[in-house]
Amino acid sequence: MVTETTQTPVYTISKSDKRFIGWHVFFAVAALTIGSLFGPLQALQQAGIDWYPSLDFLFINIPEGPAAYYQGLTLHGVLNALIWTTFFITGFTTLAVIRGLKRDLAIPIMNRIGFWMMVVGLVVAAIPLLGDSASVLYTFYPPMQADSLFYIGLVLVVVGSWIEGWGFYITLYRWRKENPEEKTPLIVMAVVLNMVMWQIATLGIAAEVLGLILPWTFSLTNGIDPQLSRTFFWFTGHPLVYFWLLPAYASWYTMLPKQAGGKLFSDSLARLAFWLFLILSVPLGFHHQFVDPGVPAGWKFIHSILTLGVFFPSLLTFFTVVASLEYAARQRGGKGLFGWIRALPWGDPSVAAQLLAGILFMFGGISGLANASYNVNLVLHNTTWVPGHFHLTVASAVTLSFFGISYWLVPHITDKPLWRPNLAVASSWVYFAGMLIFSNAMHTVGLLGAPRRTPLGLAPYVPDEWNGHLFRVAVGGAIMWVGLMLFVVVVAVTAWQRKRFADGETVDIPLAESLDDPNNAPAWLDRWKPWLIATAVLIILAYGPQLLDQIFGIELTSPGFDPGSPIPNN
Amino acid sequence: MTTESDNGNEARGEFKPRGTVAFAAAFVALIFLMWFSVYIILLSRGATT
Repeated sequence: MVTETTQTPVYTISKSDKRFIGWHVFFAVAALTIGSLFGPLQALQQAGIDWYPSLDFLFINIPEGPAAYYQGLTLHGVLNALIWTTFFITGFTTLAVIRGLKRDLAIPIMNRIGFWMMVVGLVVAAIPLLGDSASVLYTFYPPMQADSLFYIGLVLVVVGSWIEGWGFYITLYRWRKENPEEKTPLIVMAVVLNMVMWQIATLGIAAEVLGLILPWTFSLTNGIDPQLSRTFFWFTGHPLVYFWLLPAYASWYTMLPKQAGGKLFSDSLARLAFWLFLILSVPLGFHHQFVDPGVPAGWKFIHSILTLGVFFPSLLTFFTVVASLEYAARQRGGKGLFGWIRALPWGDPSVAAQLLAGILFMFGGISGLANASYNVNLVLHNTTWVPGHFHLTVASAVTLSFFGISYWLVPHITDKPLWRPNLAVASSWVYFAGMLIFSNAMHTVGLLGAPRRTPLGLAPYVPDEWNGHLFRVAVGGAIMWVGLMLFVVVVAVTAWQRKRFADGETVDIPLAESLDDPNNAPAWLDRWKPWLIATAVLIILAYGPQLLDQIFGIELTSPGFDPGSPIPNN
Repeated sequence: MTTESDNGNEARGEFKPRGTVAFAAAFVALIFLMWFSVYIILLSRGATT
């Protein structure tokens, strides 16, 4: 389907909007490309192979040994987990809103200002990152202290994404005024809901950076409260995972069924799942703080239960998406209880990438349940199990889905055919194979006790039983990088080749019909107010008392530390 | 209108997602199996409070 062209697109996005979306994809892929250079270096480092010096040309201030590892890990996390995702998501959301509502953005200049603010933020944050003065990892836990430019850059990226979000809300608001009888298209509801959830969630990081970290880095306060900072961070940090995932879900629900040759199994189930994600994504951050001494056990238990609650909309998503795919496969002649899987269009680069994303994500869901379980978590807390898990979510479900989206989106916005579709299919399979090896090894060695965020290749205490697994980490990481580079080459050549579609021909945006009539969906699935109220109430109940306790007990006493030194900065 | 409506002409009732149900059952079984394998490790390391 991805290479299927049409002479009669349902709705044509303007050239200027296509260019605007293209800028999002450009910065996203550029960040992914640079950030991913460090992935295999860390994986090789775990096996005792140090290739960091080969990237000296990228650094303003060349570090050595563990410092290089931490600088590389920070760049990898920030560029891949924060920048690649945020830029791609805001670009995809722009396209989904315009195409879904079949109208231009209400205030295009607002979205443009937001986007370019994100770009400025990226550049500002990149300066200390490349200069080794912000190697605090993407979680930037105080009392580790980075150059203030790093935090200012992140603030600009987040505020820029908020401004883009406001542009989407106003566009949807005007559309609803103009079309009072129509239900909001599912894809628009999904991506706008994601921006709403993001704006609620990032209030935590805004409070942390603006209220605690920046005054601290400007020496307006004598120190910082690491516990409160971590609580604010994880208010944002866990829903951040859903901010990454929901656009992938939007594609799986509203696009993949059509690409596979079928229809969405149930529009109503899909809407219900998205609303539940809005309600449940935020109030569960304490499950990242199970060993934090400053959070009482009762609150950790409540957040553990709420985290398990998110599994319900996740299972709804699993069922609805797989049922949609089964319907498509049977329309294509698929037979048997499992034999229909073979009938899916695995040769389509966009479909293959998203199917492989879904398969890896199933394992990510399983390891996530272990993370969320209060006592079981103690077996794997702060081990390599955790990055093994989130490579199955953000680096698999999300990243491979974005590969798949890119394989039709880049041809659509450039009016150029996808370059080498077979190579595009291969990119996803290579990446998938690498991830299977890498994530399995990370989970296994984590269960054996290997700590995360540690250059194990330099550590003197690594027992022999870890070595085979750490070697598999290196092999898997290197294979993943090859798959990722194939993706980058395919989309870059597609965008910059001279070959164009014939006049009037284009790749249409795949939007699936639903097996049930969306207009028959209950009205409460198209109302924002009750769901927003429920979201606010649950956040207040789950966070309010404990957050107030931490705020009233604040102790701004911890000095800042350079990540490479045990001596306080001042 | 997700989705562009097909007027509900196609009855979803005609399609029974048997493969999906079997797939989901296998997935849930795998979840229990893997979760309990970590739980056994927890127990083997001694009780926690």
